[in-house]
Amino acid sequence: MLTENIKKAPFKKGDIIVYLALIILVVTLFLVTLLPQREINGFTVTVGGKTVLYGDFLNNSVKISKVDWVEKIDENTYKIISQSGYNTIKIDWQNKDVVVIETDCGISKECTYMRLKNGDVICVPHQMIISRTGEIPKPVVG
Amino acid sequence: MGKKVAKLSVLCALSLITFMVENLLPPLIIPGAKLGLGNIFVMLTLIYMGLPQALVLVLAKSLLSAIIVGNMFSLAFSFTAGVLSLIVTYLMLRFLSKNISVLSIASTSACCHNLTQLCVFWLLNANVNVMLYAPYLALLGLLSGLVTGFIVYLITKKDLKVLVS
Repeated sequence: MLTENIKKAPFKKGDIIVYLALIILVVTLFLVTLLPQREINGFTVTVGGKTVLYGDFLNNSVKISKVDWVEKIDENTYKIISQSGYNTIKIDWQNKDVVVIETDCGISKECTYMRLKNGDVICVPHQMIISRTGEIPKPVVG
Repeated sequence: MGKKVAKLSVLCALSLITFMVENLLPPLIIPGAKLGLGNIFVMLTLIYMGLPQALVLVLAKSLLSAIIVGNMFSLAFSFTAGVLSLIVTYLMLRFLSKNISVLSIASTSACCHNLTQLCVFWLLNANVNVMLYAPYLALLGLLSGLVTGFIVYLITKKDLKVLVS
């Protein structure tokens, strides 16, 4: 019975309603998430929900809040170490961008393709998120 | 009974193989986005064998893919999203398949899958900014569902003996 219904045709009249609903959903999501313009003044790096590092694009400065989790390589490059691996991030102060340049998070290493200026940089296996902030992140105590 | 288990195992293996191949390819437009070809076999299991078997396949696929990739954390996303999208697919197939095609069912299921994964990540990491990826993942789900749904339609049309018997 089920296969008979499926085999009848690749497209049916009811598809119009379904696809219209999906398109409305997509457009609504675009409007809700992308219309409000946010100025980027800083960024925070969290691992498992805990802030490990935060940066200020206005003063070109970085503050490390969890010293054991961050290894400074140079002024623009930091290695974020989590329980499951590491992500090396590079800060582009001029363009207010942060990218992941090296990681051991898996085969596809998707976090290395993300750009902060287009949205948060997320490494799912390591639960690492680099979030842009409009306001300068305040120092995290502890 | 033995035949059912063997059939389910083959479908699970095929689903895992497509998952592994997709993992080796670079991301599709958006980081983290995949075509989801493994879901073809989940849908075929649902159509030809039923919901309980499809649930077992989703569980096995989620667990084994997490072990293969070496990241048990992804089990939370893939299993939750897999089960939810499977239930949505089942309900649409059961009650709406007369009026809507398997392509739109696959698109809805894919959107549901992607958005659920995003929501689970948001809940686990308490970071609402991840929702910025929601529109792209929803759009990709809509498009990838067209591809996977069409493949399911073609396979169903063939009435392959190995699936039907």
